[in-house]
Amino acid sequence: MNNFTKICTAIAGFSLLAYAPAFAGGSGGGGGGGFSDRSNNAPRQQYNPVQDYQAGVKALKANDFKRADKMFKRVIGGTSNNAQANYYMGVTKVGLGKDKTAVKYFKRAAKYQKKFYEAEAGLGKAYAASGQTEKAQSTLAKLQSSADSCGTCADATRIDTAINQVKTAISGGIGKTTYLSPYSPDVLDTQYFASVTLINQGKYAEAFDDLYLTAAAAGPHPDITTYMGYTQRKLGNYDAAKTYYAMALEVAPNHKGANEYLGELYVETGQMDKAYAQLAKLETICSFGCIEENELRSWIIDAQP
Amino acid sequence: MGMIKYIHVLTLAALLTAITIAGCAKRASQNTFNPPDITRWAAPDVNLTQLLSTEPNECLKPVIQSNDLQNIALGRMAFRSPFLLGGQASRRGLTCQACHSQGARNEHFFVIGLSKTAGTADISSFHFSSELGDEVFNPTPIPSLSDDIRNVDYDPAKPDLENLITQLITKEFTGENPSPEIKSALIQYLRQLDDSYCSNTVLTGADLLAYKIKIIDQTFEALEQNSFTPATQNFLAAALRAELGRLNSRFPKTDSVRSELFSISQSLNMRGEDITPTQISRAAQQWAVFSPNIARYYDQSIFHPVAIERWGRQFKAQSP
Repeated sequence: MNNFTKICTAIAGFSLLAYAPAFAGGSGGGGGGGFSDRSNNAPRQQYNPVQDYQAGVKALKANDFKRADKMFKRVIGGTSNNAQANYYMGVTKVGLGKDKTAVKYFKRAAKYQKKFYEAEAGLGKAYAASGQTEKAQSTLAKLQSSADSCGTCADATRIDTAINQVKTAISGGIGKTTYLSPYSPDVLDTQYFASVTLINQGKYAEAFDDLYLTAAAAGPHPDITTYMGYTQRKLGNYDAAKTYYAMALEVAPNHKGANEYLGELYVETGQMDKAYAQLAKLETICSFGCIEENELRSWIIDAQP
Repeated sequence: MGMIKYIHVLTLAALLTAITIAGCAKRASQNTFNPPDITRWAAPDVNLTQLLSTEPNECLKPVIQSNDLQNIALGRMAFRSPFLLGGQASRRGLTCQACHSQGARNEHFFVIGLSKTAGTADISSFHFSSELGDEVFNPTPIPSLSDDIRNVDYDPAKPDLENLITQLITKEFTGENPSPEIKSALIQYLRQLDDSYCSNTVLTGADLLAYKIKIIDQTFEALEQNSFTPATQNFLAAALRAELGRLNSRFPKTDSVRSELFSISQSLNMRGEDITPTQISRAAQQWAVFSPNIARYYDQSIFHPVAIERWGRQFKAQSP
């Protein structure tokens, strides 16, 4: 043992390593591993928004709005741009009778995620419930316009549901709460595995849709958002990919998969300085080497003229 | 005047302490603790004490030639390298060793979506193979390799071991075809496995720790011989770093051990270049000085049943 270590050991004394919570429900290639809590990619974090998110949804379903409020407040504090958490916070505020406050969260949800018709419905309903009928009508018109452009597209049913909910609210009725995912927490691991399998088969659009539903049930797990970014990148949507990588890195700055894939995105878009910065970060994160570092290095070498 | 001098000395001492603490903190923070990789592919209800304190013994036929020793060290590290299988398997940190502990069946192996019960795996899953996936969830019991290899070698109807390994790495998984040097070493290691040469079929606690130290010793010896091609030396050095990482993951509360392992790993860090004899010699020297001390920390390591129990309570509390 060298002297430096001896000094450190003496000073450290009885200091123990803090065990920050591992990610409940997740790891990942996008993420790079099994989604469950045994994450290979982001095992040590200061804050775990996934547990709070799931607790929030559970509380919401039990009409325990106070607890849901507390949970989603914490999630949004940790990952402010998460559309689903903002949506559920809006629903929570409605449950607490704070329709005006709900407007803010639904607006954010719709801003952070395109084609988030459930959030637009929530917004329209909150406007109607708080007496802002004109704004509710305007939201309804926007949804109707989306329905016209969609026709019989894959989102037709979701848009139709949203329109009916806003219409009901404008006429004084109370619509049912829309939950964003049919998945219960106990199937999330299996669901995540299936989504990653789709990626391995090159079915990126399907994989993204599946990952979205998993994320809506599981919360902002960095493995899931990393793979959402990966699928978007493979579909050529670089801006969307960057947004998802940023979400993953906001929750887990040292996420190996997110750092690697962001670096690859930089290589693909010719931003080599940024790609090198990502590689340097991975060299620091991977104390004992890792596949993510090797892969990004190969991308950078291959991109050199 | 005396008082002022005294205050200056105190200030200086405080400053030096702060600088040292900052240095220690920086070095410790570069090497965060991650739970042992085998916990990531074990069933949620696994007995952690059994999982972490007991492994099958590595039963090898005796070796006579010194170059055989080097080849076996290389083959063993290929078997344990997370860089061999490629694709999703590598991203999960999976290795041959993950399913076949020291060549025997890993009865604890369990991955959701891949296993039905502990000790089974669906090897034709699209999750790992874009080529051989069959859309059917059909996990089968993981075999012990020493039996399996004998079957391959003596059944003329089956492809030879080299083809089998190539197929497994490149098709079942999505790894790159290993170089002939690595493949031949892997085959030699596998053929050397033989249960009949072991009096103890399992290793536990301190013996298990001693085994982990021994295989790192042997890998350093093989690296120092410098008889492999540069690409193989690089592969071996990377696999050795991963092995050091595995040892690191057994010392959740011993910063001093982790700090030293981190430092050795950094000496072997190639950063995309070829590993140099100077790097190897420096790391080997660090290891030679440090490794005899590791056993002293056995009772703090999660090879020790009591330490595992203590650590396991926290680990399980964090699991959903």
